[in-house]
Amino acid sequence: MDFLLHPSFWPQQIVNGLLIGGVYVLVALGFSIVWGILNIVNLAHGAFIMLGAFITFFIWDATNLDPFLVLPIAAAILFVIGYATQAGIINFVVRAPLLVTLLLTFGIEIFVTNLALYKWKADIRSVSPSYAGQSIELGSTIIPITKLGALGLACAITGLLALFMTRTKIGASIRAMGMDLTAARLMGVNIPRTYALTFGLGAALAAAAGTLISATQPFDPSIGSSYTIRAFVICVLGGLGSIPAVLVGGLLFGLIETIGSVVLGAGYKDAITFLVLVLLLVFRPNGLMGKEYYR
Amino acid sequence: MTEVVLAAEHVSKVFGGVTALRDASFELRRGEILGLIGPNGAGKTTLINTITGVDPPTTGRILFHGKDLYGGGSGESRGLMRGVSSVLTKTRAYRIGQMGIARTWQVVKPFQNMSVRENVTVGALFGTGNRGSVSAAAAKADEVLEFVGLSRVGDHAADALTIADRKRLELAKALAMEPEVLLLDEVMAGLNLVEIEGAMDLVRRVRESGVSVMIIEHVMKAIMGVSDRVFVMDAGANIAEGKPAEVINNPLVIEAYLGKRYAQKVLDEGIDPAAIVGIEPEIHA
Amino acid sequence: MADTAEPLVRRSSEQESPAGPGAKKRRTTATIVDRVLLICALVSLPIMVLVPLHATGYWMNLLTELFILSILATAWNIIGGYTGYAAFGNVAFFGGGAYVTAELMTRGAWSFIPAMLAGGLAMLLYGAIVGLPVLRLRGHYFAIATLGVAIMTRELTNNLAIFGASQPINLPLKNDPNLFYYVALGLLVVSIIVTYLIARSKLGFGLVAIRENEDAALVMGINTTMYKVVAFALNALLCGLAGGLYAYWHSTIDPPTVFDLTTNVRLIIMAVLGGIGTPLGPVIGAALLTFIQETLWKNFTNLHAVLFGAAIVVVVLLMPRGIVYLVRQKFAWRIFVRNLRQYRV
Repeated sequence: MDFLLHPSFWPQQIVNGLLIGGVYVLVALGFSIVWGILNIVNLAHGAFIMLGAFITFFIWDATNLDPFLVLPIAAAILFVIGYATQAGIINFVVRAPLLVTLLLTFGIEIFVTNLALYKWKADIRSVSPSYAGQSIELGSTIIPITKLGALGLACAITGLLALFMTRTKIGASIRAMGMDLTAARLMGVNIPRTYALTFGLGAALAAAAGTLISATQPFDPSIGSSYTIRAFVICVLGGLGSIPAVLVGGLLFGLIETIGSVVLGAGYKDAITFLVLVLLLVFRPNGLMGKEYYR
Repeated sequence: MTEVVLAAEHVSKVFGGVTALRDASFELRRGEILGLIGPNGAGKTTLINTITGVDPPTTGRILFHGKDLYGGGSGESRGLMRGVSSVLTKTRAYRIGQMGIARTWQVVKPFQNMSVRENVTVGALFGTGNRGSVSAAAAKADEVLEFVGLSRVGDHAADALTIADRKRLELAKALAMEPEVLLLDEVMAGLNLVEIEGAMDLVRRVRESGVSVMIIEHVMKAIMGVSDRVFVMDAGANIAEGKPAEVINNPLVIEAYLGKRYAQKVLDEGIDPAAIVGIEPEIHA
Repeated sequence: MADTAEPLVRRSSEQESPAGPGAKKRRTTATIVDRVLLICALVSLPIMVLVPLHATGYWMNLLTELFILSILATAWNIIGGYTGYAAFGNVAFFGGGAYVTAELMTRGAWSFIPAMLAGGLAMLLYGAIVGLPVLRLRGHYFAIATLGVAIMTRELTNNLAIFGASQPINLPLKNDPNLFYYVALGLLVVSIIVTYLIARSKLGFGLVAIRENEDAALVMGINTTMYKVVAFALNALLCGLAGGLYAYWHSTIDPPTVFDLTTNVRLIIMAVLGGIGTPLGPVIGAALLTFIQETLWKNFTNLHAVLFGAAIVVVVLLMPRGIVYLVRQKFAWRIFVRNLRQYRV
């Protein structure tokens, strides 16, 4: 365990944790909005992330366009898919007991994941733009440039989302709906459409996360469910109901996962994650900065 | 003076930064009907919640036959211990039910996917009777359904009842527990005048069967007609207590309901307060 | 007061003949359907007992697996259906039971039945210990906490040397399909009887009251914590027994197979498809889902998983309350339309 005492070890691990944490923020952001506002735990969220990664891959592969520039395209496509899914399917069971929505979104997850497996096979792919191997060195700490770009983009998108939710009319109606459905309806919010918009927004954010994942690590059609579970943990960690909470939760989760797996061995990574989750749920069910409603 | 069955001593309850109860006290005597009135937000329901263990008091004591329900410390604590202590208070809540304190809920809480009879059977199975066999409890449930006049809908689903029947179901579920003390939280809200007469009659019959009743109500005509004593709360504290006729003429009570300016006007112009408070049912409906 | 308000009853199909005061016999459509289902179950039992005389190996395997899945769905029904707590981590107990049984049979050289029973009892205890903190959570939080418990259990098994780490464990080989068939059938019958007993007992009333309104149940004198833990532990016991049987039947177990998270969801879908909170619903759902899966597998080998996902979506949309509730009503195609509209936003 001598490496733990090496002077360059901890800064590097913290940087690694924050870099991956940035991606996790985006992974959880759409999930958090859909859960917090629509009260739907979307088990298909990871499948949407996977779709985002594949769309980025295929566009990059065909046109050699920079993956970060493909992000808006992937997000737009997934927004349409998400909107249609909510308007055409999930809207029908929104008021049913939670088990029903869980099973429905799980069915969608199986459908999408297996369709992807059938079409694209289980091959592992990755997007590597020309600058993929480059990195910045700060003393002995190495920062890969794509991961840094991903962290920056994740923070920018989070900021934009916060502005969207607070400064626009659609954002206001989404938040109003999350606080009091009946009141929002009476104030003239078109509930079915706003539900679909919110879900579409969640899917678009999932696609953005998928783009960042495709540019920073290898992926295959079955990555979805592991990201869904991570999104859930992050929401619990930060607390449901606010964008800053997702930011804190995602970065913290990246740190816990990275440092936990180097200290205790990669085999215990998931065990640690879920021990943290269960303890948090039992002792602090509102998360570290949970709020009553979505901001 | 008859024995005190249930008493609250200087009870306060704080939710986050909001003080819902500050230094509330009362005594409920054996076999009486004690009315509890006060403007919206006075803390009436919170008081019932502290008694039944739904939200244990922050400070103060609640005595049942002179024994503190939350013996020693109350259920509130911080940090890690909150988890442990919340398990303990839950433990208290069901024990309080088994000791003989039953309540109804202002927002009715029927077991929707059970029949009316099954709803009441739950009360007879647990509660003070704590019967072991379902058939014995079902027999008790039939008795209670007959008493409150719900026999004819015994097999109906609980969510298919009218408002009046839902309120009666609340009462039946509580009565099936064979309680010593019954806390009624607005069982008459939303009823029409005929139904209110019926409900008042029912409350009187409950008392005659030996149960001490505390009743929260906004329907003044009903509460004044049925209560032996009335006590009034405002802003989390009790402000007056006495016979219905005395309480209604108490300047503090009039002020709590109408505000200082109008209370002064009432006193100056010699308007009959009962007429003013009597407006309440319409306001509330 | 009895003469004041006429009862305004919204449902008409089930209550066409209102029972008079004190009427004990109720013959609604629901009770008739339940009775018919029970009779079907009783009739099919001797048939199931005689199956091994004629069946091929394919059918023996399929039915044994169906029985094991039915046990799991029936177990879940106790906590998820009757108590209303959507447990998503039952594979923790299934896998746990499998591992305890395997360890006892390999290292301890125990014989099968005692080892399986010990596995079940160990899971009963594990369920009680885990349930105490986790059952304080509600809704989605409970669901994911139980999922967390399952993943934690899998990872611990994966990493701890006493469980062979991630290496598979090989149990003594036993080539006797009839033994596994009959043990599985026996366990299934026991789980159904347990469910029936619970449904008719004080415990069952308490659990359903908790499902319908936990706060109201609490102040009515129900020790909700204890009742929930008992339900959860019983569920864990049955899962553990099924796991023990599975381990010996398959003779090789490793963490990815016995802690397979999709099994969680499969068994919940079975229960929902059949009708949660009914004693026979989960078994019917398990049979139907297995039938669908086998048919898809045979006819669309490449696309069967895709179609399975689509089937789940369709089933959930058209009958969110399952088959038992569907046949309890007088069947008509418009029921599907009504179900589709019922929970729409």
